[in-house]
Amino acid sequence: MSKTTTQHAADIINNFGSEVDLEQEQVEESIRDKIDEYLIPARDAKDLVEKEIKQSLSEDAETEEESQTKQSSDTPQPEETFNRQLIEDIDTDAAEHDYLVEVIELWEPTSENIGQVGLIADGSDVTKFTIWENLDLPELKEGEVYKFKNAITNLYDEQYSLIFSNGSEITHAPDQAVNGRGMDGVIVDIQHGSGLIKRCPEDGCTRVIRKSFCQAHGKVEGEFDLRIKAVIDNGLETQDLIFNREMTEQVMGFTLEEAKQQAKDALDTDIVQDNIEDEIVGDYYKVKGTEFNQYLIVKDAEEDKAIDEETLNTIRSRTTTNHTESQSESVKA
Amino acid sequence: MSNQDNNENGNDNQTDDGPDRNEAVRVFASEFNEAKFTFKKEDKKRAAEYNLLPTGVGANRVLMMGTLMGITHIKTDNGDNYRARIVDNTGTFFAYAGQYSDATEKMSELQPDDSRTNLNQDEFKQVMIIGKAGTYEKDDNEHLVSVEPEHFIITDRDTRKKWRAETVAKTLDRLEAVENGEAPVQNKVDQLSDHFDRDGLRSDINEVIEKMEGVSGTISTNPQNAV
Repeated sequence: MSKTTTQHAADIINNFGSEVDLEQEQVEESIRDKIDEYLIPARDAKDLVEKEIKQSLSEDAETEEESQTKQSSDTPQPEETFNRQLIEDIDTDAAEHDYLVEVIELWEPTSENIGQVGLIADGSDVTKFTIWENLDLPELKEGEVYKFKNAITNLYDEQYSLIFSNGSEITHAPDQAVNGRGMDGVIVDIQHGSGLIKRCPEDGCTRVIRKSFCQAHGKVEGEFDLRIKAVIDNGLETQDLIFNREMTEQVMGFTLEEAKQQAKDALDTDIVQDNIEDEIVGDYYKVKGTEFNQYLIVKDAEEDKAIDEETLNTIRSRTTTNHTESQSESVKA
Repeated sequence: MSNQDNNENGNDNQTDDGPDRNEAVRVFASEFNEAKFTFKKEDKKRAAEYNLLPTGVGANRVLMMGTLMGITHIKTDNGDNYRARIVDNTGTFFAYAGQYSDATEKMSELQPDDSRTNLNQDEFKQVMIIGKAGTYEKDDNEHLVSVEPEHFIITDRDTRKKWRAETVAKTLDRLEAVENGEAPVQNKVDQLSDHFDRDGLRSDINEVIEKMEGVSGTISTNPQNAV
């Protein structure tokens, strides 16, 4: 049972109470604008309008504060504060906070209203972000670190993501590091779901689908993507790795399009995973990346057959060339 | 916050070992072949089994390398099995592919037509075996150690040399720990110390070091032993 635009507008006015001066007609029109602009259901349009109103209220409050500060003091304004919050601490909808994040993956926008969409991580957790097309924000690049100021939490389908408004700011922070880690070892396994995969094309869903069936959206026409889920092992511990499309293409030396061709020629999409396995299992690699759940999202990977100086030093520290003192062969315990 | 769980774990969650995948222990043939005793870390029927290495470490999975000397085709009631004989700097070990797997397929491709053969000198290949350590009983009740390959990889001399250096260093780390009484399964290895020849292992390692570039000399003996 869906509510009418009029009912949604009435709800908003009701929610803000009598202290905020809102016109029914104006609110209704804003909701209709959002529906047209973003091609979204009335319920979501209502949420957006509500958030915008909240935001404009808080901006008004800030402006008031600012003018008060200016009146009371002639000293220059201190630099705007950046209060970093962690992604793992997000627990309220429509909350404005600041984040220091690294862009892990950018996805193909599935609607022309979306400017950029993808995954961000800050060492505590990973989440989705969406930048609407109409906002004047810088273009983000994969693997780069950014400061998000006044990013807004958005709860949908019981999952939080970050969105932005006119009051948000994004600045490139190339000198800042989000918790990353590296590992050297042998690629000892490739896991299922590697190679040529299909993802759900629904807005920001990106779930990996099997047999054209998405867990959340049912039967869909999947979009091809390329990735590697691998295990690296240094003899003492193992680490699950994810290579996104870009890293997979770089490590394997073939593109998504070429992978599609391999599958076409073999009449089998699994051939790509087999090719990846043949190519990298058993190879020594140095990888660096960002932690995310049990995975390391690989940002940098290099095959390395050279013997590490550290390994040689370990051996040197336990050997001696003085044979008179170290006749180990003759010593019996 | 777990929205990405759905993407990465929700519908294609097929890790082979679950969250606690066993590391692949780097071990030379001479140490591996002495690992005839097995133990479990959990008292469950399906709990992982570990082969007790003389250096006081349990090895469920190993990563070993060597020169492939031959592959034997063995017909059993369960189908085609293959046994590879591989030689590293310290001795010989066997990789036994008992069930159908990618490794079995690779081994069958390398298998020449006759049922037992040694490959030509020119055809010597460097192989890496990643797999599960196991023991099997021969007809005369003797227990032998072998590895059941998950991956049977034809590789190259550079990788072999890197593995050799890494395995020397890791073996020395383990030797030091066990001799200081600090090995992960020290009690187990102490109880069975009569069965292990760590001096032999030390001497094997010295021979490996002799062949390596960038290092020289012999390994220092443990002070406790050298008195």
